Amino acid sequence: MSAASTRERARFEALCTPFRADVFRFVYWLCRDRSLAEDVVQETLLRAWRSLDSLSDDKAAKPWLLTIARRELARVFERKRFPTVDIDAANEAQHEALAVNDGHEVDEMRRAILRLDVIHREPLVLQVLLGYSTEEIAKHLEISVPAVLTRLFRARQVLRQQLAGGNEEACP
Amino acid sequence: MNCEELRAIVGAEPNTTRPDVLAHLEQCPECARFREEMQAMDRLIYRALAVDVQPAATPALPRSNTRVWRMAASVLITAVVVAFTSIWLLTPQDSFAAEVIAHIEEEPDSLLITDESVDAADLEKLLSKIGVRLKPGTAHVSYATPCTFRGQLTPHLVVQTEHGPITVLVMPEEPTRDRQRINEEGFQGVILPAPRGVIVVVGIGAPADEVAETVLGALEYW
Repeated sequence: MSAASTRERARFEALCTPFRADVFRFVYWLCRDRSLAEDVVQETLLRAWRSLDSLSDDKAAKPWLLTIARRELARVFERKRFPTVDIDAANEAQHEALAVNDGHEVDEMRRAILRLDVIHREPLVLQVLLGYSTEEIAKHLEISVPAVLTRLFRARQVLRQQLAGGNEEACP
Repeated sequence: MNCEELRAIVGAEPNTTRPDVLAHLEQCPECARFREEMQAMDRLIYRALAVDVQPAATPALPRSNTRVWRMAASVLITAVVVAFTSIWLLTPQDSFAAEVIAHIEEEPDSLLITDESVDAADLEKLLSKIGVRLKPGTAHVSYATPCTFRGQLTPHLVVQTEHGPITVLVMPEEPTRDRQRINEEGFQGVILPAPRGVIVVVGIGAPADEVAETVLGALEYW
């Protein structure tokens, strides 16, 4: 391996590997399927490696990776026609797959998030888990800031209703 | 700022540091409590979202990125692009669905979730340009603008549903075609034959079929 290639590999490891967990969680909460998320993360890292030259600002590695992951997941959904599933059964299966002896309230919240519509789930994940600002979410989702705020408000509203015993909203 | 406005802001950004929000919180114990509840809920959301991540082997990175490989790749890509472009130009091809998605993505503001409606008179005026009328009260239309799409005047509408906004393109000059499903770039929908031309109905995770049937049934062509 040449010195240049070694340097490139080291740069990739330094920039991308630390965000693997973030990318996995982001993809998981979009697709709600652990094994699919793992596949997408692998493909995301490979694509990132191949296009590392296009990353001009090292500080932007995380959003860059998440954007690649989002596109890769969209490609997977486009290629595959996933069968329609019963959302309650799917949520139960994913819930069990995620169980790591968290408290009851965390379990309940996880179930509620799994039931959220993806257009509300994605900005919530970006904000709460990944620390994106509203402007960064708007840029990532290519929608306006007011639209982001509306979705975030709606996401929390639905979660509160679900946790309070309501049963609002269950979507892709 | 009143309490309702504050709760809309805090409900979207519990940790906001907007001065007007902070000023209100200092004087309103109920809203301060609401914010504490939202912040507590966010801590719980964070714990729920931070699912366990299995350690995984770093993917085997292919050896690449030498200059020679890059040059070879660019030559190959150019050749492929030229070949595909030639084939595309020489072969009639249905890229209608892809064009629809590209068009929608050019107008991201159209996809806002909103309670606002287009003025009924403006909507009627727009649709009258193509000899169409939408029965009043049929749908909550939040966006209506005249677009030039595939070379023809196309009213671009957005209908708000409880599952999100759905785009409707009314294209009376498009050759009528059989029903065709759209499933691209995360968008799902349908191209439907209409009394004149077609209508296109597309959304993200929203009931496009249902809206398509409703809109088609409510459009009057004259």
